[in-house]
Amino acid sequence: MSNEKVEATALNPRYQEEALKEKAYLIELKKKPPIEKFLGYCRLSGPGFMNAAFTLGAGSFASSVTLGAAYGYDMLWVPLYSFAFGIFMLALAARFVTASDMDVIKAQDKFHGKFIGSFATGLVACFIASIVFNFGQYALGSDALTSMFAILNLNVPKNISWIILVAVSVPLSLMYGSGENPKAVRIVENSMKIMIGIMLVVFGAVICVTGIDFPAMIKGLLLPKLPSGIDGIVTLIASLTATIGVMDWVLFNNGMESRGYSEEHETLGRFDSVFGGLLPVTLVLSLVTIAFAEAFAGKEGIPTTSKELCDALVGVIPSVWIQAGFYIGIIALVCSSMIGLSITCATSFYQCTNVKRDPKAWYHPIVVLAPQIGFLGAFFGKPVAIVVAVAAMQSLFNWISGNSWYLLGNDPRYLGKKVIQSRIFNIGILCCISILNIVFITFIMSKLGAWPE
Amino acid sequence: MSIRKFLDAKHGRFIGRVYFLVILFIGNALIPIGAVSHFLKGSSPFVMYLGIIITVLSIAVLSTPYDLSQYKEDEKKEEQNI
Repeated sequence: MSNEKVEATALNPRYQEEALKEKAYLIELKKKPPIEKFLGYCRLSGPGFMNAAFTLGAGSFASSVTLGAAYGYDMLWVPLYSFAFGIFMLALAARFVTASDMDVIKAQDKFHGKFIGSFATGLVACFIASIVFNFGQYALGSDALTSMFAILNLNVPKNISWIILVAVSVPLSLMYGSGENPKAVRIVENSMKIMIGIMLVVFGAVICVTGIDFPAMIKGLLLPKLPSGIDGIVTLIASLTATIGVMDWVLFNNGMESRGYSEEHETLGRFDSVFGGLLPVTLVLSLVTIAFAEAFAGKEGIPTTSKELCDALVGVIPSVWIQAGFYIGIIALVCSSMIGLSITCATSFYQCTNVKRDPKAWYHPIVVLAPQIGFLGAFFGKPVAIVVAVAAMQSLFNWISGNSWYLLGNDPRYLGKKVIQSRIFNIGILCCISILNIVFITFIMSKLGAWPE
Repeated sequence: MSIRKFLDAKHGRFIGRVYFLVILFIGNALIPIGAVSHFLKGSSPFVMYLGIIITVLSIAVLSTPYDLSQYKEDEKKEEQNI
């Protein structure tokens, strides 16, 4: 074996002691009774929570607020169903990691060309998007911090409060790096679990105050209802994509790679995508939607700016502590997304360029912390024109990447005998691609003036 | 030629799955285009329904898995230079 290959094998988390131990444990776990197996998988979960924490950001929060405030309980099914379709792409990511040693972006480069792999998936849909989308996180997070301090009679303006977001997100982003150190990866994963726990507790407390209509909740969650009129359909499409896209798939893929997933880990990956991804995302976003459905039922003036989003519920929450809890929930939501964006930025950068993945190199912190330029969002808000341009490119590259991933999943040159053999698996992936296609077409139509903006 | 063989054989530059992905994209595109003309302009919903039918048929075809009996054991290793 050449020196380069020996070095690559030594650096690959799959061959590190911890991953090999985990692999042996999983082989034993498969023989255990269901409850023991379930608890064992819960203990080992992680990348799914990373994915959930990343998905739960300013974008998904804003879309849940809009759905709740405008449509009450009727659109509660949107996060559940959109993530459920996305789960097929996450399962595909698990298949890629466990069946091949080759990074997915490198595989796209090899089999579909560098334009689709490095450029479309790596550079535009992940690297650039992770930088641009961090502006919105800072805008919402700094507003939440300022409002939280205000109810405690402390005057901390936005141009100072953003520093707290840096203090939370930067150390954890640097600790994860590009995923070479399994112990650091586990610490960051556990921090993300804690942040999701905070969101569930505080938004749950808010629901206790605003109230909840259980029959309407169950109906709204399980029975999809299309909104009337073109505005409703536009909102629906925006919300469908807020929960899942190419960045989520790549982050989940890289999270599993960093943990050294190998062939024995595929079931764990699928379990993690449901119990670490689908359940927390659906629960948190449903709680937010319900809170705003209760507070805004039949009222005018849906909150749109980050300041309005932060302050919208304060009037209906009498307790100062629950108000503070609501803000802490928003801050946890924003910080977890910021960490996810930094990780996606670094891992996609190394995969789409020939720059060596070296945590000790001088450029490494710059790559990891590139999305932190988004702190300017605390001063100037989101750069709307850039966000729209990147969202446009992302909607284009989402479906290009989706098609490319489907083809890789059915390509024995990449997966060998582990190529997809289930028709249902393929149908799920194709439904997800169809949603991405429709989003792209509606975006183009809106730019041509054929679809309302 | 069976649909399974067609999907994974090369026809010109691309394999059959790529051509069906293009058809799927066209079907997907017809859905919002038809929806706009139906809901906003009050015209017939034919285009929207045509899009839905093309989408469903394309998904039915594209969901066909790769035929593993065609697979040669060393194909993956050769391709990935392992």
